[in-house]
Amino acid sequence: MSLLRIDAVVKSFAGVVALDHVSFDVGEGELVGIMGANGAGKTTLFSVIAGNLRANDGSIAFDGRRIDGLRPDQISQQGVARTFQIVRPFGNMTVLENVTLGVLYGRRRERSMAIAEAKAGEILERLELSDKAKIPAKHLTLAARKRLEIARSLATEPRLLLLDEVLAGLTPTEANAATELVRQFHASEKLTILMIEHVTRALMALSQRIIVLHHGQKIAEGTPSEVARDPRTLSVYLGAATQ
Amino acid sequence: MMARIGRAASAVTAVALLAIALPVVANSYVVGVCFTLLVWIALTESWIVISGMTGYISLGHVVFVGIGAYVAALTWLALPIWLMLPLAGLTAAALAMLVGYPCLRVRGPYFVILTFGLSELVKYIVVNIESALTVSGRVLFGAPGVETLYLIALALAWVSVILALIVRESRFGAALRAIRENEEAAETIGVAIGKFKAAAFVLSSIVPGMVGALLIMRSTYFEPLEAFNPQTSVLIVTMAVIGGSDRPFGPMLGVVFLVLLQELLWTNLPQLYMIVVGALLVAVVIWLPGGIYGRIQRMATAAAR
Repeated sequence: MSLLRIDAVVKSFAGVVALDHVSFDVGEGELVGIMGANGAGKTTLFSVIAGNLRANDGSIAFDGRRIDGLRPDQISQQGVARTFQIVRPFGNMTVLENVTLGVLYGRRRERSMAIAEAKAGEILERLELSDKAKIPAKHLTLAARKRLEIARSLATEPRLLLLDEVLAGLTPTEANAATELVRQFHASEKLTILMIEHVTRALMALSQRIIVLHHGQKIAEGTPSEVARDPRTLSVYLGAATQ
Repeated sequence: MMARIGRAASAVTAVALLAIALPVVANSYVVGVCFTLLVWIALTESWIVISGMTGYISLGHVVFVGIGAYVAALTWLALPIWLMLPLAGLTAAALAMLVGYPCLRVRGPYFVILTFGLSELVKYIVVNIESALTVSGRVLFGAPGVETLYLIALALAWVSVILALIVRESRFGAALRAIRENEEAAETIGVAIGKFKAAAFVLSSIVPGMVGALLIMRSTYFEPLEAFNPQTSVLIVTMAVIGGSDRPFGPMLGVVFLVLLQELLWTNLPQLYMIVVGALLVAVVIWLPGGIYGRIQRMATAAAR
């Protein structure tokens, strides 16, 4: 059974249709990539899944239960976590406090500050942020803030992680490290991942399946090599199809 | 958590216990000034639970003071003080609960204006009720002396400081600060923001309600325009901002500073007081964004290096 089922989801902003009857499934343990040009509706899709925005139509089911219409904190409780494309750290709080919050209010609902901090410390260790634990999050570099964004999401112990352009703005070396990180977490945590990425090379290398959005519509879906050969994808990325 | 707040809480408690002896050793002028100090500490420390923690700046906290005062005026001599005080606090809490959810849906300047407007609204409701009842001011006969009131103020100040300390270091407070830093991110990692903001707002209203009851026992006279005077709200914000509003010890510095300033100016240049306060607020926001406490902390960390 699929873990996430998106069915005919529509989202429009004052007449502009950002998502136009988008449907797809994500299976348990899968790593699915989402591609598309700017304005294709990728981030809107994440916001609708995570509950930050409400869909105008269609349904979203997570683990067989409807989650559309729930508040973001309730969806987080079900086991869905997202990162933000434009990172949103709790700037004046330390890196450790940022991640501790995820443990306190995520699925674990940890009551003890001490246990939560210990758990957050472990996550920081894995994301190589331990040496920055006591620094206010606003003082981190972009690469570190992106890792913090991932760390805080992972701290909520999600079953499904939505990664929104975690590689954008990173140097090639940093991007490679981050790609490796995503691969490790996917392999070791039995984590289902849905990721938006502009760095097509990374997306092709990581994803088992890719969905292509264009002007709010799903125009292609398949394995990376299928999608790369798909004439609709090519026309979106390379201009009108040459026939 | 307990260990972290333990030291600060014991220090506060020790000072409070020592302060119980003040009326024995000091004259009533000094006790009166200290009463004023404690009242403002109780108000600002309560205020930071909502505004310092979540960044939702309430410019209407006098509404809780006023409503508490009104409860005291209405039940005066009908209820004993030990029953009337908690009732004043609970009434303020009920009001906070009623208006909290709708008000806390708007952020930034909108929330500031809404709280201000709300306190004015309640003020004029009370004014109209009183005039419909053809009451112009209520006199409280037989109120306790300043020594007794001082002790109640001390207890309320102690409660509010301890509450602020606990909230600052607790799981609950961590969520409130996350709301201040980025509400959408807080919600996305599982914080039920609506509930938390409302809870903080209610917590921040109880002591001010009791302070309201205390204040009219001191003045022995209830008059709505005075009890709901918006100047009180402005002073709370100014004291917290001048002191530095994130940690409980910051506002205390602001209170001491402003109350002493008030004592000084009141005798010499009373008409200048609010002008000086306004100028100070502007100066602090521009040149001392972390307040006095923030500056001390920065100097301390610089010295430690």
